[in-house]
Amino acid sequence: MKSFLGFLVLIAVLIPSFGQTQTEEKPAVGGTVIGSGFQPIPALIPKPFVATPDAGPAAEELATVLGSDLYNSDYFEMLDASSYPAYNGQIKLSDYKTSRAKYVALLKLELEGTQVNVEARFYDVQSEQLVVGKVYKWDRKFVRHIAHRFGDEILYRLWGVKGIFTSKLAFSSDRSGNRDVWLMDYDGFNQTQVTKSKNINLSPDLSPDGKQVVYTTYSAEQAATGQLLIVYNIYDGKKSTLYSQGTLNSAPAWSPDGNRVAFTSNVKGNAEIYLINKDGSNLQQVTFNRAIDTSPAWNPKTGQIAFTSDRSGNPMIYIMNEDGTNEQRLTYVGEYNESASWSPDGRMLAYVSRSGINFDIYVVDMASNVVTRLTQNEGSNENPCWSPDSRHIAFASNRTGKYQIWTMLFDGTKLRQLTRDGNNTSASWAPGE
Amino acid sequence: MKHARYFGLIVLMLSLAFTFAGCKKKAPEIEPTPTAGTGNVTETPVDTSTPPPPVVNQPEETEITDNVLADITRQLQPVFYDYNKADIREDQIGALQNNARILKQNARVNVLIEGHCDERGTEEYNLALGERRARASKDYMVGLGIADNRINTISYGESKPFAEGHNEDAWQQNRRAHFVAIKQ
Repeated sequence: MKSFLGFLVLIAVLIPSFGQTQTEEKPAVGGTVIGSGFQPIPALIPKPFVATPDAGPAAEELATVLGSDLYNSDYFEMLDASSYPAYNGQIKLSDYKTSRAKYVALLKLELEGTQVNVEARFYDVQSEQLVVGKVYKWDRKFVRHIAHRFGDEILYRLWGVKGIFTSKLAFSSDRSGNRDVWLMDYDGFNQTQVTKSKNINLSPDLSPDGKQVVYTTYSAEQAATGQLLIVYNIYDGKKSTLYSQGTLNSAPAWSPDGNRVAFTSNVKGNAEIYLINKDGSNLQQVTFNRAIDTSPAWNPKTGQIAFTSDRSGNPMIYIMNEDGTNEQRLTYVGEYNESASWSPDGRMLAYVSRSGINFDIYVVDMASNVVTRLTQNEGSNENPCWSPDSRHIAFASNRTGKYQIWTMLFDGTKLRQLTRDGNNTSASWAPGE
Repeated sequence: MKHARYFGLIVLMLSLAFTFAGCKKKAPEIEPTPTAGTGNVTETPVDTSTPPPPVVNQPEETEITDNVLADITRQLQPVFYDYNKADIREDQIGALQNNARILKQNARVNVLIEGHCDERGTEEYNLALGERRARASKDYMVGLGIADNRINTISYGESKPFAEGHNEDAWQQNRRAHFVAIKQ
């Protein structure tokens, strides 16, 4: 056991808690940008080595989740491992050199009471270079999470990509009988209800660090009813009221640095976009137009804000500086464009445009102004939001009847349905841990 | 309910009779007896020759209860809107005049105007559109002489449809300002 540790480049011991601390060295990263012409790279996960016989189910789960993660990322093409030797604890990369695999993941597991000990290695097959090696010791029930963490580490070491498999989505669901805010893993697992009030809870937006969610709710008192913005800390469960003046306080969106929130309010009469510090101070009005101005979305790179306005007569997407200057109309085609969402790399803007009675999702490349339609003839497709790596888009679609959260690649392929219970809308996607 | 109300009256009359039998000098002030189940106690002058009738000089007093609010709410009419519009249509002015009249007749209630939209917009835009519809109705009511501070507005966007269908019949039902009588 100890002799194996010598082979590992890095050792991480994970504490079995959700908000755990960790000590991991981050190596220098090449930072190759994965462009749209990228071809998925063949990879292989041989049957893991089980050091204690009772670790079989955990080993299967680990390999399955890791394989699913790598496949879902679209960075990898996963080869069928059944025609290659299982990993027997001896690292022998020559076993896999006849395959097309560029990379191979060798996984060793043992159970120690309720704890699972994992040694995970990811090799370049031809050069026999170790890309990343990790030891994980965690409660058996966190095997999925170990797979996600190792998968994230692989992407980070290869391309400097962060936070795909451990990322989280917040969304709005009516499955409890009430509109509530829920959270889930990027692959739809671990769906958890985070609001339990009897009031409607809408439009959750996860902070850029994935630790807080801001959403709109309604005050309970009928005589003075109005919308409130609430900030909920998903790690300690604390809630605080961010803003409660006026009766319309909708469409909250975190600033890229997580210090402010943009939102729509009628505090001075007309629906306008305001900015506020996350502690509730320094309210700042940034639109001044008699039309409806709503749905602000912050560009993580330029700090510009995209928003929707019907000042032309119909809802259209506009862009302005965050102080409200330099307003420019972005979309001219169609009669109803809404729900702008910037990719985290700041290069693409997704939005919805209506065709007939349904919405479809479009993406505009801001450098070239080329617009690509990503959905068509599959019900209504709404609320696009980007993954932290700017490669995927989550959205709500009623193509199966009720609204469900789906994800797809930025080119509209590789569709996955993440929710199945009730109606689920308004996804927001951020890195996790 | 009716039995309770009659019972309340009988109790009131009996208590008046006993009170007057014991004290003839001065007509006392009579407090209406609150009766369980109704907030609606009406005083009836007691017709007796001996002892002489008391001087009852009290305002008509009605407790504002949910029943009363529900009764007033039933008299308030919805205001319907065109698709993606918040303008007051000419054929909806009658409903607003009716609602202003009801509010003038019931000066001790306020009104909450809820703005609603059909399902065809996006959730966030519809919240702003519903708010604008509610405010358009409010502005019209203020123009008809209802005090600004008697009218609250709220938008539910598309989240509380009145009709569940996915066609124009349902949509036009759902593009509305819904008026609810509330306590002051």
